[in-house]
Amino acid sequence: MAVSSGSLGYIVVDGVEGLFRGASLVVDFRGIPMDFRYTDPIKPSRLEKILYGSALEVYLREELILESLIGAIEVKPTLWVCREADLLLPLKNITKGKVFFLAPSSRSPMDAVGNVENTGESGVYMIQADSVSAPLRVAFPESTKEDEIKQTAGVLVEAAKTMELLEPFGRIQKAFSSLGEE
Amino acid sequence: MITQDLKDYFCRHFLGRVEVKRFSLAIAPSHVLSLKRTVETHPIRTQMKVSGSALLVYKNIACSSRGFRFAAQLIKTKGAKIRRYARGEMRVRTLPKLKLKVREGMKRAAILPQERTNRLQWQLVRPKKEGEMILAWYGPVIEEAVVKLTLNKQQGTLLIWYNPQSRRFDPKGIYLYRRLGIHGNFEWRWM
Repeated sequence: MAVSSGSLGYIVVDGVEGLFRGASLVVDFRGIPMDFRYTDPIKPSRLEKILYGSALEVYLREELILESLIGAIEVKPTLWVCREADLLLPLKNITKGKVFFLAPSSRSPMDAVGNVENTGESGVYMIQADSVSAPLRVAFPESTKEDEIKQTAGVLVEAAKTMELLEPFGRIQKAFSSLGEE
Repeated sequence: MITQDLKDYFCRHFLGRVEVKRFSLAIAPSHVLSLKRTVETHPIRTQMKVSGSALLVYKNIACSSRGFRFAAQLIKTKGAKIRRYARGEMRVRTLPKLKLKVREGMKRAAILPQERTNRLQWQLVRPKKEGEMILAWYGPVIEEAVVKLTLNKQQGTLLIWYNPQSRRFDPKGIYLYRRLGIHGNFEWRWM
């Protein structure tokens, strides 16, 4: 697995109407794709739903899809990004790397780019990544140290100079749509 | 008068006895019916009779083991012994493990454009000349790496296709202006 300098790995695992699928997109700091993997959609049968019970969704999302995607990726990113908070811990356990959850916020901008503010929720921070957008809501796994959070904020500020940080999620969704049309 | 007497005389002697008819005043006894009802019961189910037994393969349900036979002594049937097993065996089927395939999709990802939203509301610097107005600001965009730009008029977003081979990393912003006037046209300007 080649380690790229300055890259972000976006992970999306979807489970809509009983159809599960996932995709990972590794981009450089300009948003240009370096690696893209996606899974075939998987629809558990009625028997499987009965047998797996409530553990089915967790198994599919965390073990089957997430592990398979991470295992298939050939370019290891600097940071892993997800948009589902429940994927944060499994993503951390599987990748053994730096991971965080990223979401938009409707807060007014903070004083300066690079500012990090604790929201009061455990592991959840607001980060002002650039001067032309609202601060981003960023969550880290509970064991994450302060140094790592600051380091991650620094990487996000660096990447936000040349790309829109939330944009790759939309691209993955477009890829899902185009796959669905085939 | 004589004629009648003669008739009676000869009737008694030659024509036999006078017909005597019996008339009874007794009324016939009435037919008595009981109001008591009796209920007859008839079983609806068909009568079941087990005269023998056989192990049957129940399709689509894997519930037995391969090669396993019940001992004839263990199965009690009334009045009959197990003579044969049904053809075919019950098979144990293992539920296949959930699998999925991960596909490589770089070609697909390469043709997908990046999308920038209009961030003019956040942009403090708004350079404009007289007779023009700023409609939008999109950024950051690497001008030297751009292959194609398209404005999505419905969404108001800018679609960007980059050259993946480009090594340039200099971010810029791009303004969309509109010239005021009757023939006001649009203009893109990098900054």
